[in-house]
Amino acid sequence: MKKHSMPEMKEGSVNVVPLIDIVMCMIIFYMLVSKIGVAMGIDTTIQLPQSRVGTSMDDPANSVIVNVSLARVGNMAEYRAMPPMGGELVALSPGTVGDNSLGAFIKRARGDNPNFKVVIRADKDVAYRDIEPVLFACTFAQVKEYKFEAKVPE
Amino acid sequence: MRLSAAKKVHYESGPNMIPMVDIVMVILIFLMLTGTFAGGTHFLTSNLPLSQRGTGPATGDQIFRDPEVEVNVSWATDATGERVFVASVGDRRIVGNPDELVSVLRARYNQMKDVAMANPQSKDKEVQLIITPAKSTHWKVVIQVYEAANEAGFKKIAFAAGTGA
Repeated sequence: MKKHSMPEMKEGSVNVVPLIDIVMCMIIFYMLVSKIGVAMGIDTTIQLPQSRVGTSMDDPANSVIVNVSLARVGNMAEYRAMPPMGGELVALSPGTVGDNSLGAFIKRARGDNPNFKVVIRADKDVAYRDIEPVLFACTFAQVKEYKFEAKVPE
Repeated sequence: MRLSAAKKVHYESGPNMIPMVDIVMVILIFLMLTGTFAGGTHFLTSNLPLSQRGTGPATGDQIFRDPEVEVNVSWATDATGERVFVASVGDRRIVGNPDELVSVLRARYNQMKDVAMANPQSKDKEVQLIITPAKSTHWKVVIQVYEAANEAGFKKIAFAAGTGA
């Protein structure tokens, strides 16, 4: 009668192939769903209001983000936006007069682009009187569409 | 004897995975720490200019306007100290109850939609909602009203210049 023995162990090391499969899947997932260092002109100190309804941003290339924060500059909120060519956020004054005014900035950013949009990213605790100058500036610059950024409830 | 040595070499002839696993792990940890997810925020759209009242005669564009519903918004503080909206639609005054506001706005929308459909001069056969907040109203309170208007079915929502000081 033939005697059965345990199969010979051929490799002594840990099989890393399943580990690599899983890790590769995770890397591809993170690369697809995350934004790394993408300069969108966002002021991260702003606490957005919550809203149950809303749509996704379909055309970020044709838009400029105007941040309205709680920080005060005189009697008004602080308005900051990133120039279309990129770079640091620049402070803007309310109104339409002067190169650094909201109206002039939005008009410059709009150029001749008919699909141009303004994204208003305002802190939940700013008063409407601080949002108004941005809306006036959009009307001055003949922007046809503006969007208010809100947080998805958790 | 020589045959078994050759076999042994064959079993261990695959590529060395350890450096690759090291690098892949570093990339994974980097992505996990530095990445911010695209989700988390969404956008409320308005495609109407700031509505201004009493600024002279109506222009050609304003003469054949779609019917409008106006909601005046201010704020109050509830028992917990939380700021809530005070919305006035016609003679109705709603304080901090989004469901009630949605139902009032929906009723007004349906009523005015019939007017828009019956009016041959109405451009889009749609009803405009004009939100007129008091200047001191906090943005999150205004957004609650905007949200309710959206849920009530309004597709054209505009803001008017703020009232009060």
